[in-house]
Amino acid sequence: MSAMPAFHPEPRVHDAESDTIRRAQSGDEAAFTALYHAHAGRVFALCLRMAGDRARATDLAQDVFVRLWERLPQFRFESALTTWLHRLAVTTVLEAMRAELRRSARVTAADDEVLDAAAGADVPLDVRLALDRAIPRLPSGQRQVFVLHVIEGLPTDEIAALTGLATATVRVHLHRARRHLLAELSA
Amino acid sequence: MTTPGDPRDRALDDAARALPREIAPPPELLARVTDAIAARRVRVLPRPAATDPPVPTDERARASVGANAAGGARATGQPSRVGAIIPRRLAAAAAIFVVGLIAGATGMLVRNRAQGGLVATTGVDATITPASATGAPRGAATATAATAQFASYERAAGDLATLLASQRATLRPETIAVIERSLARIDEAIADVRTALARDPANAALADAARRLYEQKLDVLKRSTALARS
Repeated sequence: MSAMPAFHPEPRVHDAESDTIRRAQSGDEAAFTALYHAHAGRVFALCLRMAGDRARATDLAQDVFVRLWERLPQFRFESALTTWLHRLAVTTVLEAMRAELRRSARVTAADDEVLDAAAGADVPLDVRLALDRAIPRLPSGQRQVFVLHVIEGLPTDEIAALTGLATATVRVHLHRARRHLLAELSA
Repeated sequence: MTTPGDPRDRALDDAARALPREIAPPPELLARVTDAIAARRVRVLPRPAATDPPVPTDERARASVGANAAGGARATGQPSRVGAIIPRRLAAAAAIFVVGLIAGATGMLVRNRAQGGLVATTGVDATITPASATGAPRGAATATAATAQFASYERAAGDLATLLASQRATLRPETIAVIERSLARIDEAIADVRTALARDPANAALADAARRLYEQKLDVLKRSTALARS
């Protein structure tokens, strides 16, 4: 079993970032911008994979950061901001996707600038690119479950709670997503 | 995290987890975020003072909705017995704002009024007559009159935005999103027009365009506060 993705709870916030967070909490826009730059890549990757569409992902990422600004004063330093922001992002994205019925576009990894090219260096690049092209083609429900569970590391019962689906349904989506992806990759 | 039994599934999961954790957002995202925040902070969602204790959204919503069971359920995200009418309200809101955005306003739409104990004090200077009603002033007078009038519009919008912020908990998130998107678009357009006007202060057509946009903004704010009270 591979290591859990990095959005895992961490014991406490790094001191340097906590200072930035406190300044942003008090309304310091430069500090907020610094937080944006620190987390935008991660948030955008989540939005892009969940939405499957770059324009929609941009809208979602905007919503996430606006909500971050609004709710940052509620951040209590009980976990890493990364963890807290991840939950905020997942919730924001799911709320938005539930509220809208539009969109089902395609996105390819080749269009996007990967910020951490070293990630997954042990997996062949062509496999990663093929997978990143295949994920957006999954049906919306399967894509959300696959991204949240496999890439973002959320347990199925938590995904069920967030999406309003039964845990069994989440597992079915996950199973079907894997079948779809394997079929795509072997085609 | 469930571990798939099939080795091919495990390999798939490993490959998925190896995907890049970060993808560069489009360059314009930060500007969009800061614009949206500026629009909210200044006009719709004034931030609490730094010393204010954070209040969970649900608590604010409950406090606002009070003892109304259906409203309370709605505010806390639980299924609501009035849920059936909410999409209609949202649709009405969207329709109102779209119409407001594309039709424009032809007069001063906001006036002091009191409804349901809430006073929507706009602060629009009644001595400043819209150019659309009198013919736009020309030359240097255009810039002076327009600047004073824009300030008056800004004050009115600020007052209404403060009122709307106090009513925020009574609106559904989807409705708030519609309102905020509408206001953000108008603010963006106002900023564009005023930038152009700064370069060409005597341009009466630009000044008139800015006035119409301000009026649209007041219209959206006024309708939003009315919607919040409904």
